[in-house]
Amino acid sequence: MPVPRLGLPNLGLGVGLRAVHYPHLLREQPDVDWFEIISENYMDSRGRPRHVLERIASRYPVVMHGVSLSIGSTDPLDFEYLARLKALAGDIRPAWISDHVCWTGVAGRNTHDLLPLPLTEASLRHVVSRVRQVQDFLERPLVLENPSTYVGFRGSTMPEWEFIARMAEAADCGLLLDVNNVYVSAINHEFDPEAFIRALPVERIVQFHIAGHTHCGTHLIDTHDHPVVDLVWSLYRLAHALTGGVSTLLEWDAHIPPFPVLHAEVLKARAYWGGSETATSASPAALEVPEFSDFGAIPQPLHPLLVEVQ
Amino acid sequence: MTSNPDDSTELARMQRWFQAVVSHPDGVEAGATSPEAEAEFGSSENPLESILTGSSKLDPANRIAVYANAYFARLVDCLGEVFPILKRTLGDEAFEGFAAEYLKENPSRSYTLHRLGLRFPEFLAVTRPPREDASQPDWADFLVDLARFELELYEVFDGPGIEDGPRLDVAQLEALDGPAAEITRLTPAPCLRLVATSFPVSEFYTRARAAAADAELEFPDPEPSWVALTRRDYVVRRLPLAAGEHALLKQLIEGAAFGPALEAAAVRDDLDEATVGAWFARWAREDLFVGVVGS
Repeated sequence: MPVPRLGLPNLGLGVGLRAVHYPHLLREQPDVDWFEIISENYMDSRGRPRHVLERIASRYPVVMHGVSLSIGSTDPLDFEYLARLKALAGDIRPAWISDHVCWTGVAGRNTHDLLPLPLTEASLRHVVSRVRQVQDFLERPLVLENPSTYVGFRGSTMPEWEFIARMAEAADCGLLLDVNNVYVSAINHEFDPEAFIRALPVERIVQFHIAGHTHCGTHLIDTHDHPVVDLVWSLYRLAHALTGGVSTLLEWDAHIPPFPVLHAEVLKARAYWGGSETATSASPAALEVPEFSDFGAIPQPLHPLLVEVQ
Repeated sequence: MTSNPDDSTELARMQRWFQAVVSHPDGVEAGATSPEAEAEFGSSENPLESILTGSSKLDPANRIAVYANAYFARLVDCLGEVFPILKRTLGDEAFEGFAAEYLKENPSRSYTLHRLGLRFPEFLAVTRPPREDASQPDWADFLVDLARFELELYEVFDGPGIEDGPRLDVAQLEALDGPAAEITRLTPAPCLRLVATSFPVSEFYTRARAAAADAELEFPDPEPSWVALTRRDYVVRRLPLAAGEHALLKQLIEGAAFGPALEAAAVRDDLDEATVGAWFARWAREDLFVGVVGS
C-alpha cells in the first residue's frame, strides 16, 4: 500500500497563479501557502510570465498543472511537449506535476478542451499504459485530475470512480480530486457524488481542487468564475475527513476577483476541516436551486496572456 | 498491463468521431452527419443517440453541444486576447466571424494556445476582398497591418528579451569607425522587431487603447509608417522610425557590416552626422543592439 499522498507533502491552502495578480503578488508578497500554475502558460515564456514565476517559485511552493498532456488521446504522446514540461520542472522544482484524465484532441489537433473518455476496459488499458510512459519520462509520479464532463458514452462499462481508482492503482500514479468537478459531473450524469469520493483510493489523493461553477438550468458547467457553493464545501468536508487532509487549491479563472478576495475564499476551507465521514447532504436530490442560468458559459480551461505595451 | 492496439483503434475511431462532431462549424447535428464522422461509424438515423447517453434533463445532442459551443467560443476568445485592438476596431461580431473562418482552416495543432494566432494576419491578407483601386491600400490592408502589428507585440512580450543580458552603449556604437567597421556586424536584441506598415498603425493603437469602450474608431488614412518594437523590464516599447532609420536598422539586423551599411544609407538618404548621431544615441538608449561581431 502506498504511503499517504504518495509521500508528497500537504502544502496547505493555495491558489492559482494568474496574470492579473502579478503586480499585487510581487508588491505585497502575501502570506500564501502555495501556488499552482498552468504549465502551458510558462513552458515557452521568456517574458514577464516566466520572470514572475521564477520570483514566485523562489518564495512559495509551486505545483505545475497542465491542460495539454492529453493522456487519453490515441495520438502518440507528444514528447516535444513532455520535454518542455520536464525542462520547466527542472527549473522551478514543483512539488508535483498534474494534468487531467481526458483527451484534448486527435489526428494532430488540439481542441484545448478536456474531452471525456468512454469508460471501458480498453480506455483504461490505454490510459494506464500512457501514464506509465509519462512517469518514466518525467521521472516522477504523475497526478491526474477527474474532469467535469457533460456527456457519457453508451459503450461505457464502468462508472468514472471505478475507472479512476483502477487507473491510479494500475499506473501507480497520484490523484488530484477536484471536488467541484465531482459535483458538476454528479449533477450532469445523475450519480451520487459521495459514492464517487468514497470509491477512490484515499492514500493516492495528493491534492484537492475546489472552484465555482455555472448553473445552466439543465446542467452545470465548470467555469471557475464563482465562489465555491455550499454543497461542494460539504463534499470537501467529506474528502478532507477521508484523506486526513491534503493540499487544497482554489481555481478561479474568469471574472477573477482581487487577490485578497480570492485568497479569503480558499481560507474558508479551514471551516470544513475536522468534519465527520458521514453523509453530507450533497446528493443529487439536494440539487442547488440556480440563482441564474447562463447558456453561453464556457468550460475551463482558458489561460490568456495579458500583453503589456507602453 | 499493456495497451491493446485493437482496442485503441476503437477508441481512436470514437475520438475522431467526437472531435468531428464538436468542432463542426454548423453544430453537432451537422457534425454527426459530416463525412468525417460517418467515416468512423457509418451513417445512421440518429448517430448522437446511438453513441451518447442523455440525462433526465438533456438529450445527447444538447449534452455534447456543451463541448461544441465551447470549441469555437474558447478559441475565438483566445484570438481576441492576441488581437484586442483589432477586435475592438472590427467590433465583436465581425471579429468573431473572421476568427471562426480562420479557425475552420487553421485548427490548433499545438499544445499551447499561444501559437493559435500565428497565421491569422496571413489569413486576413489572403482572404481579403480585391482593392477597388489597386494602387492604393484600403481598409483591408489596414486590418492586416493592425493584425500583424498586434501579433508582433504579443511575440515580443513573451519572447526572449534583454532584461538580464548585455547591452551596447552609445560609446561602443560611436567607436565603430575605421577599417574595423568594414567587417563589424551588430547583434540585435532578441526582442527587436521592425514593423513596416501602409498605415500609421502604432499611432492608431495608442488612440484605440485610450478611447472609451463605446467610442467609434475611425480608420486612419494610408501613410507609410515604420516602428521598432523592443522590450524593457518585460514591457513592450514602440519606437517610431524615420524611413531612412528603418532602412538602416533593417540592413543591420539582416547582418550587413556596419561601415558599408552606414555609407550606403548616408548616400541613399543624404544623412548628416547629427542625424546619425541622434540615431545612435537612441539605439543605445533603447538597447536595440546587444553586441558586436568581428570588430
